[in-house]
Amino acid sequence: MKDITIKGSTIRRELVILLVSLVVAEGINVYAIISMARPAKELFTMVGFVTVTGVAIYIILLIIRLLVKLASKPFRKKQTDQ
Amino acid sequence: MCNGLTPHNFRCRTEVTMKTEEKGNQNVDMGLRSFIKSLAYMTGGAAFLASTTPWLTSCTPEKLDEIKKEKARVALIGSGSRGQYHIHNLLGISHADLVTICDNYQPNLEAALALYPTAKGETDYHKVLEDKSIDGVIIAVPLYLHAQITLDALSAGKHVFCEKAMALRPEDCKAVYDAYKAGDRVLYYCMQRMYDEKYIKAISMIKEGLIGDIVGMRCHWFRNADWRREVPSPELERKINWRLYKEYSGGLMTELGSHQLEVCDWAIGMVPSQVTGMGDIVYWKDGREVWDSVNVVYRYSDGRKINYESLISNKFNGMEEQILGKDGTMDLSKGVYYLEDDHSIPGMRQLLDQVKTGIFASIPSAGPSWRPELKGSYVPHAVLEGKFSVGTGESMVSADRDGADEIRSAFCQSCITGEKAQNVVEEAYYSSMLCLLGNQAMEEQRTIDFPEEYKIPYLKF
Repeated sequence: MKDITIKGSTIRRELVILLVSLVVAEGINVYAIISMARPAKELFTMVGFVTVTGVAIYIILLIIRLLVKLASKPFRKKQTDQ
Repeated sequence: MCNGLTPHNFRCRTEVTMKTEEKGNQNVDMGLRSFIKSLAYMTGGAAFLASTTPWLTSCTPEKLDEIKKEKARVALIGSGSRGQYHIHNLLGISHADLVTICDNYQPNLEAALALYPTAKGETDYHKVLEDKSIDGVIIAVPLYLHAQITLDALSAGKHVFCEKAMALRPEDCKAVYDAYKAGDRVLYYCMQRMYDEKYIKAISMIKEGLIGDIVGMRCHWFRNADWRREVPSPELERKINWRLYKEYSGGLMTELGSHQLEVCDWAIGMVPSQVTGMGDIVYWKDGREVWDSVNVVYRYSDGRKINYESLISNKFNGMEEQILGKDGTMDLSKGVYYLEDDHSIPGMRQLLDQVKTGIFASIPSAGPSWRPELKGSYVPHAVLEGKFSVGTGESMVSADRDGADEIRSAFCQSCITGEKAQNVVEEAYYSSMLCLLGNQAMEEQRTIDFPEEYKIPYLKF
């Protein structure tokens, strides 16, 4: 069986994307609190919801990146052949 | 402190009840005692009870304490399924002693006596009424007999607890009401929602303005069953399946609708002035005479309406009593309410709901300027936070406690004290009258005004 090697740079990149997703989710929460005139405690009480939303954003980005990668694969191979 | 009447305070009170229940107190008397005590505690005492639920003033914990060493000697007339349900309940009431069970159908009588072996069996209710040692009677016979037995019992000096509805004919309802008002005997009808915690709380919340002005009401009771009982021999068909024949029964309106119409009047504080509707036998064409599908509209003088519907060949919608307010909807049967603009929902959820609505609302379904105005998603808020469940609508009100225990306990208490429960008869009278007028409107296929001669000095039209 072939070993799969994940580079440190790949892990770092994914963690950064996940962190950015969580920050975006918290940003949405802050916007919602301000625009809906909700109490500030929702910054903390909604932490579970924010986490789930952040992970959902990360997964959506992951799917998009995979699709882009798959779509661009034939072109990359062609360039290599030439 | 839990002063005033807000959803938060209802929860405070519920916590008190929950603590009591956690101590293992399942006794009917104690349930009633803690219920009223906590209600008074929450809302400011006796003044609240007298103004919003005056019928509870006859069965306060203090009054129950005064008679705790006494027992009401009661007799049960009619020992069918409902009668046997009463027996099960009476076993849990410490101030009740069931001394006689009366039925002219031997199998039911034997089954009932097996449940309460110390009671004496009787087949003629007149003999029960002649027994001077009996304080009160519980009547659980077919509807067409309610009025006659109630009148006989009142004139024999007995206190009476009778199943709903009051009678099969308007003139009998009025005769019973007049006899009750003229005498000093206690009369209860099994309007258990008046003693049900969640109904009392919910209606208090409505009157406090939680859902804004009431703009309409929707009640329905759906089942998917033929309503038939097994008959051991053909000659007993009409005796056992009395609910299916107009000679004995008011059908879906009196058997189911009477409860729901009562709470509508209670919530709005008025009585409808007009009624119209249609009734049909749609599915159960098995020789029955009463309709298996009824749609009735009750109109109050200010234009507000009750839309009432009952059907027994589909149970998808179950049983519901919805009080529709400008700012929200109270579903009494489930004990939950929904707000039109719900500010208790976290901001992020509101925002995501808006985005979701925006995406789906932009899909044209039948043209460039039209989209389906489907029922939105509302967040349910519980009137009571605690141990009650909501059933499927196949059976009676299925909350763990539906007030039936409490109203029977209150009746037994009244048998000892002689104190009438305010407004119970009046509420039962108008709900019974509305059922009968609904049936008349469907029968005659016309709109009927509430007859002047049947109006009583209670609530406004």
